Amino acid sequence: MQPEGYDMSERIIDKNESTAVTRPIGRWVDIVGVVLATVAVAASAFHFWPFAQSKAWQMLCPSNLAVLAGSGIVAPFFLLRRTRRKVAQLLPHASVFAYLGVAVLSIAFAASAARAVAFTAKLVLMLIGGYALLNAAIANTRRLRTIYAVTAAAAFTSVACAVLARFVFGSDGFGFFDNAYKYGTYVGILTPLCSGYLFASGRVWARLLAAFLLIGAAVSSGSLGALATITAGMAAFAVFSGWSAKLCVAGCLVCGVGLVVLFHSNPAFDSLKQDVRLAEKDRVNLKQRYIEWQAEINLLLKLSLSGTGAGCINDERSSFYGRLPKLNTLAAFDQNGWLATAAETGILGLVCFCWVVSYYGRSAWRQIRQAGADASNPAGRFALANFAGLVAACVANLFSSVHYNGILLVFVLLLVLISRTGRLFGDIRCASESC
Amino acid sequence: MSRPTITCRQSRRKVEHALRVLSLCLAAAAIILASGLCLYSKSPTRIERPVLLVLAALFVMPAFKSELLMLLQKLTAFYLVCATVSELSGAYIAFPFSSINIKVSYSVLILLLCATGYLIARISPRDVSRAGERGGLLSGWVLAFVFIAAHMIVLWAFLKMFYGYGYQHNLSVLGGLCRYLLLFVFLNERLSELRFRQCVGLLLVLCFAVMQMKA
Repeated sequence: MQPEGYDMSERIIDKNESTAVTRPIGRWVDIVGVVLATVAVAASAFHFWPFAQSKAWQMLCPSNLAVLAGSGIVAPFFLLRRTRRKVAQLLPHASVFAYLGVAVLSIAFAASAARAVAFTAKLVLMLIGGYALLNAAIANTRRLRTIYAVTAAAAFTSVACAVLARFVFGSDGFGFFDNAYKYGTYVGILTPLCSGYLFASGRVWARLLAAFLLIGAAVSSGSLGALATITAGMAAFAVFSGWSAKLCVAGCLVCGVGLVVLFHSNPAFDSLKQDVRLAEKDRVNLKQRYIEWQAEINLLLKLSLSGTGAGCINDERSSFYGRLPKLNTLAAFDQNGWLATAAETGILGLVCFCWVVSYYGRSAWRQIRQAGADASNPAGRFALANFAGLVAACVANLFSSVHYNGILLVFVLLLVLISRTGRLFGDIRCASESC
Repeated sequence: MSRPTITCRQSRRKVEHALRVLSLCLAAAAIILASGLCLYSKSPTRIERPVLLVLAALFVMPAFKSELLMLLQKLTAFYLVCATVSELSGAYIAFPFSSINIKVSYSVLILLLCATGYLIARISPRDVSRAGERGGLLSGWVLAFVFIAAHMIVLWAFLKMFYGYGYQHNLSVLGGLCRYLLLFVFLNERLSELRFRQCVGLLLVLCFAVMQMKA
C-alpha cells in the first residue's frame, strides 16, 4: 500500500527516489565520500575566509573543492555498466535536471557566454555532484545524525564568530562572512534546521544549544531577511511540534528580538535597523529592494522566455529600473532569488525551480504527516527539522538568493536531507511503532 | 464476436486514428507557422548563440529508453517551441474593419491552432494520457504565478504607501506566464510522441540553422 498522499503519477519518473537504502559503490569510495561530504559541510561555515577577495579562491574554496573531488571520484563509476545503477540512485529528482536543462538552454540568449557557462557549471556541480556526494555519504541513520551534527557545528561556528566579531571586536563584518545578506541566508537556513533538530530531541543540553544558536543568530543577523527567515522557519517548526518545544521557540525568539530592541543604540545593529526600515528616511529615494524587484519584473516582461541567461542578471538589470528614483547605493546581493531566477532563466526556469521546491516540499510535508506530529521518534525529529529548513530557505530566497556561491551547498544539503529522511524512514509510521 | 461488432470497432478505431492524426497535424502546423513567422519577424529577443538551439533541437530527436532523458527531450522541445513563439509576441496581424482596426498577436493564432488540436485529441478517449511530470510541472506553474503575482501586489502596495505611486507596469508578465502555460497544456501530450517530436526537432533544426546563417 502506498503512503498517504503519495502521488502515483510521480512514481513514473521517480525511480531514483526508491525507498531502499542505497548500497555503496565500493568500500573506499564510500569512506572517501563520507570524508569529503563532511569537509564540504563543515568548511561551508568558513565561507571564503581567508581570501574573500580572490576570485580563484571563491571558486576553489574547500567546500567547492570537496564537491568537485567527490564528483570526480563518482563520475567514472557512472560510465561503468556494473555500477551505473548504484550511482543513478544517488542522483536528484527529475525536476532538478529540468531546471538545469533550462539553465543550459538560456546560455543561448546570454550576452556574456563565459559568465553564463561558469554559473551553469557551478549549478551543475552543486545540484548534481554535491547532491550525489551528500546522498552517498548519508547511507544510514547513524550517518544522517552525523551530518546533522556537522551541520549544527558549522552553524554554531558561524554564529559564534559573528557574535564575537560584532559585539566583542566591534567589526563591521559577520565573522567569516563579510556581507549581511550572505550571512543572513546561510544562518537563516541552517538555524531553523539545526535548532529544530536540537529542540525536537527533548534533551536539556540539546535545547540549551538550540537556544544559544537561535538567540545568537537573531542578535547577530544584520538584515531583515535573516530575521524573517529564522522566524518563519522556527514558526513552521513550532506549529507541528509539542507544547514544550513551542514554548522554547517562542521564548528564544522573544529573547533574541528583545535583545535587539534593548541594545538598538549599539552600532552593531545599524545595518539591521537600516534594512528593517520599509522606506528610506527622505521618502524620496526608493529602497534598493523595491528597485531590484521592479527591475526584475520589468526584465521578465521583456525577456519572458529567455531571460538574461543564467548568472547574467547583473549585466542587464540596471537598464530596467525605469523611472524609479534611485539612491545609487546598490547593495550587493539585495536581490530576490525567485525573481532573479525568473529574470535569468525565464519563466520556464522559474517554473522548473518551483517544481524542485514543490517536489521536495511535498516530500517533507508527507514525512511530517506520516510521523503523526510526534517529535519524540527519530523520524518525526528529522522530518520537522527538514520542513523548518525548507520553509526558511523559501523565505530566505525572498530577501536574498539560495544560488549564491557558498550558499547553494546548504540548499542542496537541505534537499538531500529531505530525500534521505524519506528513504531511510520509508514507512515512518511503521518505524516509529517499532514493528 | 459478431461481424457487425467487429466492423463497428474497426470504424471507431479509424475515426480515432483520423482524429489523432488531425490533432497532430494541427499542432505541427502551429509549430511550422511559428518557426516560419519567427524567421521573418523582427525578433524582440536577441538569440546570441543559435547554434546551441540547433544542438538542442538535435537532442530532441533520438529515441532514448531512459525516462529522465525522454522528459528532458520533451522539455527541450517545449522550450524551443516557446522560443519561436516568444519571438512573435511583438508581431500583430491587423483586421481593418470600417472604423475599428483589430490587431491580434501572431502568438494567439499559434495558440488557437494548438488548442484546436488539443480539443480534437480529447474527443478520442484513447489519447488521454497523463505523463508523470505533468502534475509536478503544473504545480510549479501555479507556484510561479503565485510568486510573481504576490511580488507585484507587495510592490504596488509599498510604492503606493510610501511614495504615492503604484506599480509601474501592466499585468503582461502574468499574461505571458498564462500563454506559456496554455501552450504547455496543449502541446504536452503531443510532444510525448516520438515521431511528432522528431518532426518538430527537424523543423526547429532548420529554423535555428537559418537563424544562425542570417546572424
